[in-house]
Formats: sequence, C-alpha cells, structure tokens
Amino acid sequence: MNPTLTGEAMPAWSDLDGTPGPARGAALAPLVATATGRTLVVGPHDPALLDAVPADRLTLLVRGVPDAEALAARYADRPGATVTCGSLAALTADPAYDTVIALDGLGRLSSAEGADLSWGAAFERLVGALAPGGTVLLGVENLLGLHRLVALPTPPTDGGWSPADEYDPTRPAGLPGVREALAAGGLDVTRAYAAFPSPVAPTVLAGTGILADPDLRGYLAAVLAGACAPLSGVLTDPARLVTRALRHGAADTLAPAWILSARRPSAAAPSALPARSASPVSSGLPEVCAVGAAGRSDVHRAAGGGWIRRTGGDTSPVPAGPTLADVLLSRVARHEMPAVRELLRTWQDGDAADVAADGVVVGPDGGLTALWPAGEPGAALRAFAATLVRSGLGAAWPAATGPELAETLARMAGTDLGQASGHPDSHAFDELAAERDRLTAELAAARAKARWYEETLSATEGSLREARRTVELLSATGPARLGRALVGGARAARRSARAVRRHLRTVAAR
Amino acid sequence: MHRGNHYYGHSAVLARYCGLDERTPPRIHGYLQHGWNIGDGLAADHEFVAGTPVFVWSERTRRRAYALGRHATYVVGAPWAYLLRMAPGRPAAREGTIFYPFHGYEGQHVVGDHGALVAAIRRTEPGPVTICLYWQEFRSSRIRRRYERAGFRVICHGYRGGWGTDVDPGFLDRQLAELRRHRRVASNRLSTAIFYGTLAGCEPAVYGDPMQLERESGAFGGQPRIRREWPELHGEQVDPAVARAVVTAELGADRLLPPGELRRMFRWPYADPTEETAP
Repeated sequence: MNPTLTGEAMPAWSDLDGTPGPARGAALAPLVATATGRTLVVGPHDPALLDAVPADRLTLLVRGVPDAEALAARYADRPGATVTCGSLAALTADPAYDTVIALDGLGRLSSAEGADLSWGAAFERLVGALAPGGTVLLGVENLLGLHRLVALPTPPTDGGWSPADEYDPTRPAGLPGVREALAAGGLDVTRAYAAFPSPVAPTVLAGTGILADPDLRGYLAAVLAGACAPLSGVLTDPARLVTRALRHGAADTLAPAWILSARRPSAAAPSALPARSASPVSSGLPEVCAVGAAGRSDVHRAAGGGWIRRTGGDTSPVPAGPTLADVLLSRVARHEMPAVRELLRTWQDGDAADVAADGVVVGPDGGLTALWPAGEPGAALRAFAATLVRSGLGAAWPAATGPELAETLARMAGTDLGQASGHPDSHAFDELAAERDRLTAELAAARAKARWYEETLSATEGSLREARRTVELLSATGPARLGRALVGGARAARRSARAVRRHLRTVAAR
Repeated sequence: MHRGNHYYGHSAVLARYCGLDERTPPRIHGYLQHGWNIGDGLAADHEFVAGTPVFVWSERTRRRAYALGRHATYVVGAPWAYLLRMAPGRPAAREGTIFYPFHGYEGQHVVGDHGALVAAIRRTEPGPVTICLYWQEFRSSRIRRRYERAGFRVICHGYRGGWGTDVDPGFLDRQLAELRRHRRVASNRLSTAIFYGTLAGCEPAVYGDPMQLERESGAFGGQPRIRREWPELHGEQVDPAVARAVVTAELGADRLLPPGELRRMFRWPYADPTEETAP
C-alpha cells in the first residue's frame, strides 16, 4: 500500500520518531479498543496502539512522509486500512466516520507547508468528520498541567514553527471548557479522564468523577504519585504536587491532559442539545486504568457498590483509606509522636516494611495494603525521611533533619538501618534550595558547637593544670616540700594554694 | 552540653534506661529540662549553643517553647517517668503526707513564714508528716528545727549535683522510695515534687503560703498564672484522677521514647538493636 500524499505532506518530518514521540502506552489501549465501524485516527499514535484498533476500515492521517510510509508498510496487508499524509485540511467535510481517534490532541495536525489551524478550527473539522451515532476520542493537553508547572525552561524544538498554543483564544479553558466545546459541537461526553504523568505517554487515566471520591484518596494518591515519580530535572517534586492536588480536589485541574470520549447522537435520537454529562454513561471503560510494574490495573465499579481492580486475571477490592505517608505526615505535623512510633512499628514489623509509605494504603481497621512493589531493605524508610524533609516536617526531629532522620525513624520503629546509608537524591530545584538552607543552618550550628567545645576544652585544660600543680605540691616528700617552700618555692606554693582555693570556689559555685 | 543535664541524676537515670553505665552517663547533645516549668522548659538564665536541641518533658511545653521562638525541641518526657517505668511499684502500705516546702536554689533563697506554713500543715494533715527540704534549707538548723519542733520528720533527698560534682545517680531513687511510703504529697506551690508524687501514686495537695524567692521575677505569669492554668491541682483536697491525667501529660509519661530512639536523639552510643525494647 502507498500512502496518499497531499500537498501539505512534510517530506522530512516525523512525529513517530524522536521527542516527544507519538501518543502511546498501554493505558490508552482500552480506549482504542472501543473503536467500531469506519475509524479515523488523526495525529501521531504509536503503531502498537493502532494494531489494537479493532475496526475493519481504518484511515490514518499523519503529516510526515516518513511516518506515512512506515505506517503504510506496516498495514500493507491489513484490508480496509489507508494512510493519508498531510494536514487536517486533507479531511473532507463528509461526516463519514463512526469513530474518530485523536488521543494526541489537535496540536500536531497542521503542516509547515500549509495554514496553521487554531484549536477551534481543527476541532470543528474533526467533529465534522463524525457520523451520527459516532464517537470521538479526544486528547487535550492541559497547558497548566503539573508536567508544565514542574518543568524547567526548555529550548525550542523544530516543531515550534508557530507555537500559538498558549495564546490561542479558541483553545478551551480547562476541562470545563473542553466539555463545553464538545457540547457546542453537538456531542455527548460519555467519559472524561485525567491523564498522568504526561500528555503523550500517560500511564494513568483516572475518571474525573472518581478523583473526587474521598474513600479512594489513598489508592489514587499511591497510583498518581507512582506515575509522576520518575520525572527528573524539575522545579518541584511532581509526585508531591499531584498528592497535594488530590488532597485539595484539584487533581483534574492540574492533570497534564484530559482524554474525553464523546458521542454524536444518532439521527434517530432526539436532537436536543446533549446534557453536559452530569452523569456520564458508562461505556464499559474502566474508571481508572493504571499501568505499573505489575502490568495494567483497571478499576471498575463493583456490582454491590465500592470498587474493584483487575490486574491480569486477578480481581481484588480497591483499598479504601489514606496512604500511610499521609497518615504519618498528619501525625508528625501535630507532633503525635506516640502514634507515629506505633504506625512506624506496625509498618516495619509487617509485610509492607520495604514498600514506600506513599505506596501503602491504611484501611479503616488499620491494616496496610501495599500498592507498590517492595524496594531494597531500608529504602522505604529513607524515602519517607526524604518526604518528611521535603514537606518541611523534618524539623520535628531537631538536629537530625538530613539523612540521619531515616535512622531515627528506624529507631522509633524499634529497628535499625544497619550500615547502609544515603538519602534519595533530589533533582527538584525547590528541594535543592531547601537543602542548601538546611545545610547552612547545620553548618552554623556545627560551628557554634565547635566553639563551645573549644571553650570547654580550654576550661578543662586550665582545671587540669591547676589540679596537676596541686597534686605535685601535695605528693612531694616532707623535707622536699619544706625545701621547696623555703628555697624560692614560697611563691609557687602560694600560687598553688590560690589555684586550689579558686578551684574549690568554682566547684562550690556549680 | 550543660550541667543541668546531670541535675538530680537525670542523665544517670536515662543512661540506665538506655542500658548504659549510669555512673558515667555520656554527654547529652542537647539541653534536658530538669524541672517542671511554665516557660520554654529551661531556666531563664540558661545559656545556649545555637542549633542545640532542647529536650522537654511535655507536648504542652514543646508548643509553648515553639511559640517563644525555641523551635529545635523534642519531647522526651521526664526522667522521673522513665524511672517509674523501670521500677514499677508494688502496692505497699502508704501512710501520712510528704510535704515539700517551696525551696530556693543555689542562686536565690526563699523568703517566707515557715511558722505559718507549719500551722497550715498541722491543720490540714491528719496523719504523720514528713517534711522534705532542699539541701540549702536542710542545712539551716533554724529552718530544720522549726519543722522538727512541730513533730514532723524532716528529710533531704540530697544534692542535685552539677558539672562533675556531687552527681548523684541515686537522688531520684531515694525520692521515689520516700514518695511511695506516703499517701499524700503536698506543697505550698504547684511544683515538680507534686508532679512526681502524683505519678508515683500519691494524692496531691497544694495549699499554704506560697512564699517568695529573693528577686522573684514572675516571668511567664508566675504564681497567678499557675493558679489560673492548673486550678484543678490546687487545694487541700484534689481529685486524684484529674490530677493523674494532668500530671501524666505534664511529665510526658504517655510519650516516652524507646531506648534506641532516646540514644539516637541524645547522640548516645547504641549497641545491639535486639536490645531496643523498652524495659
């Protein structure tokens, strides 16, 4: 199969290779698996995802010729598959598709060879391609997402020939704006997910409704912090930011991207304006889809209420309650040290001893459920010590706020860390600044203490000299003592006696 | 870091608790509160080395110290509470009252009418009375005789000690033995001894002329504040259950550290982690 090249195809451009790469990841698989009928995929999507699109008739639109050729080669033997190369302008206004997939969003659909489409214009074209009864899967990057809030300044890339994103007035404002745009386009939103930790390669999709469920706060914090943790070279720790966002009901507001599934009512259905999805219709999609070391975990509502998660073939209830880290931090913040000792002991005596406190949920009965895999022995305590320092709560233990804190925690739990030492490295700039301040204070304290040692040592040496003189005087034999006193020793004896008196006075004063 | 750490054999008691030689307790890298206190836990004239932590008895003292600008603090509880944990008392016959007249210390003497106090004690206490004097007052035969003439037994727990001198690891043991002989503990001021006695199982009472220290400063609100803040501990009869709850909190007896943690905070050596169980 040869790709259909339009005039706006970019001969030397690839979105599939390089950074940031195509929309990808197993977390997106359940979404593309819902595609039916004539399906259009616009923008760069990982071929592994495209393989999973079950539709018989598949049209792919990419702007780079090398990408188009690679895809054409890959799907040469797939009946009903076509590849078009160019911008979104290549789409006819014909509402021909039952499913439109744009998980990469609308940002990489314009060509350097053609006009730039605003978000609104691209959106219009996209939904215009949707047949009645059809479904669109749309990804929207949140330009105020935590991935951007924590990012260091980056040099411009070749893709930024007209980087209008931030200043595009047609771009919807926040998730409510995206919902409004879909509603205005005559679509019913059936699902809305917050995607973490990055727009192109999310590993967690969480339904915006479930993010507000207080019972699942701990589970979600563990999953989201786990997803955000690997980022490095940041202004502030994204895992901590996402945990805080969750705590303050802003996890969807700060999500790096949103992915929505919306449906155009079929012609037969009443054409009234669709409700703004106050109660999204369940379409069999999971509420949470999280990809971790143990594979993909899908959370669904259980038949009898509550939530269940399926990992591989295993099904288990989603643990309700806060994370162990949250419980510990709140206790430390209130200086409830007996409770902190108790919790640390329970944690370190149990099966979850080597699982980081951020990845453990404390159930209503106090039982611990580990959601993260176990790490090296001692690493979990060290990580929690680092969390304490990061949260500004390390000062609850005076003079042990650095790496020493982990050993103190171990002692509180009735154990010890042995010889291994170290402190999880931090690459976040705010933590580096805080660490600098801590070290400055520690150095000042160490200097003050050194001065005190110096003074104490001098005083002790003085006392020792006087004591030696006294001993010398008292230990000499009788005639020698007499001789010394007589032959020029009188002065020495007087001095010694004075010293003894002074010494005794000092002692008495203490 | 300060001679106050050794007062009353406090460092020795804690060394014993940590499984170390109490005769030569290691240096505590910090300042240990040595008496019940309505300020930041330490004496007003206490000198400080910057960055050195203060080990206070109670969470309330920690909060107060923090509000007073002293942030590097840690609640360890009173050494007295550790002593009681190490030496749980067996129920024994208790009789009479041990009375601690408000005492001065090495720098300031106390001024007051001991005669009036004797009369108040006589009026109030039905059983035998032991008067426990601070060594300064005990050394004054005039003061001592005044109580003896009233038919009271007069004792002294000893010197509180200091920098390598008169360090007395047995001070608190003697005090505990005395307190456990008595049914009541009383004083003319709410003071450390009342807290100790209550925790050791005595019924507390605070009454009589509170007397004055020479140049008493009244810092942190002084006596009026103490009466205002702890009215439930004042009077000839005090509800023992209420008193016990207050005393437990003020001595931090409900938040003692395991030995490993205490050694860690004091920067004391520790050995085998299997010894890390509290006695």
